[in-house]
Amino acid sequence: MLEAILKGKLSREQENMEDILTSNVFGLLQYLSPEKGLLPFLGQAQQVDGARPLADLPSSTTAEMKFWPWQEYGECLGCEPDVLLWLVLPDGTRQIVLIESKLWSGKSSYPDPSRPAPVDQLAREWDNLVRLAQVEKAKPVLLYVTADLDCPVASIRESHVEFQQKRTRLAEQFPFSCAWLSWRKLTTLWESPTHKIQEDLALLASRLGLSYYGGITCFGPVADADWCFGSPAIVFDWAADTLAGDWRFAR
Amino acid sequence: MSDKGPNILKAIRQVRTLHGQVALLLQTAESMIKKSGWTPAWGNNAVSGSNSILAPDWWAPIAASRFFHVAEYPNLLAFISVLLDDVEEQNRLQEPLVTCGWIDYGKGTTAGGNFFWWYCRAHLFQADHVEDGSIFSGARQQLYPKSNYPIKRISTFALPLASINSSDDLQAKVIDVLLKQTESVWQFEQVDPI
Repeated sequence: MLEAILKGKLSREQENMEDILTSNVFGLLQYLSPEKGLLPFLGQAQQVDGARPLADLPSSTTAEMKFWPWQEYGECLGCEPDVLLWLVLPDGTRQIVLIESKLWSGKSSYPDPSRPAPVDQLAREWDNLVRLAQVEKAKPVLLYVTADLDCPVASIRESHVEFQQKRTRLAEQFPFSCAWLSWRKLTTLWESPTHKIQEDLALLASRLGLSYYGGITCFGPVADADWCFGSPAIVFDWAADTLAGDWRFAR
Repeated sequence: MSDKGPNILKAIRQVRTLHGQVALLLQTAESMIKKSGWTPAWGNNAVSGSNSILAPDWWAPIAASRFFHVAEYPNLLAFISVLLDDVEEQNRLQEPLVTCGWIDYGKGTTAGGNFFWWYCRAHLFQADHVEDGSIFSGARQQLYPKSNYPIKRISTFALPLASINSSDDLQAKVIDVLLKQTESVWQFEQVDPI
């Protein structure tokens, strides 16, 4: 699939499917040691206040991924995050990173005051994640990966408000927290790639327009296209032949 | 096989790619200016043109722009634009430009959403304009003598599009200048006795 995208074999519609992007990026990252791929990428994630919760993970951290696992705990509404990532640090502590990825669309659901449980997609995912993390004795990290150039603050704050309002007691222990990461970081992450997968990830992001502004680069010389319409001149002749036959409208 | 058809397609696709890069420039500019509290005044719109069979010159956009307002300076409306062509007078534009500016609706007024997209082309109508980053300012009567637009003046500056080669260029040469100038014009207005 990756090669098909890089060679332009897929339709724009297929290229723009966020599940394909998620599958390609996180799928490929599984084949790199974490310190060469996953950890530097996650390290770029930042919260609304600028903090980077995944920036200082030790290089020997191990990672295990599950794609699109259904999650539904207690009275939570269920959710299907794109990736659940288990990180085990060298000291044995664990983090569960729930990854919600988007390409050109926003959240799939928004706050709904008529329901008792959080409905907003990120709020609902945090609701489930903290319960899973309690069971697994791990630290929960919610990660929102998008195509934005900078942090979608309004969207994250909206989720924050719904969770804090509907889960007052749970929020005392696990206040809503969401880090954001742009796919565009893939184009700047490795100045000197040491592995083909790093190169391909950067190419993939560029191919999908997930890059930062780097000047106008597209124009090359094009030979004059001396096509023009109207040579030889077209003459409209309205003196059409009369139709054969003797059809007529009559009652 | 003739090259004509493939060349036409190649040219069209290059233009489409250019549009993508211009959009990225404007999105980047928007993310930068939003950090200073300015908010978009035109939804997601960026271009205007015509789909009329009688106006093919206006099928392709001649400009792409974003307009912004900020509560702090209610009578100012800022814009960032890329001027791609000038179909009315081709000599007026020698190459595509990044142009920026602010529309002053006059002390005590509120700019709101009351604007025309073509204000983003005002630099081309400034007297003796040059495209080196110098600031020009023209009164409404000078820029649009036949109109009664509810604006006082438009101040602009411009640089060749091809000279903005990175996000850092955009920040330093365009956004920082725009923010600094709008701040100083506002401070000046507060003490301006007129």
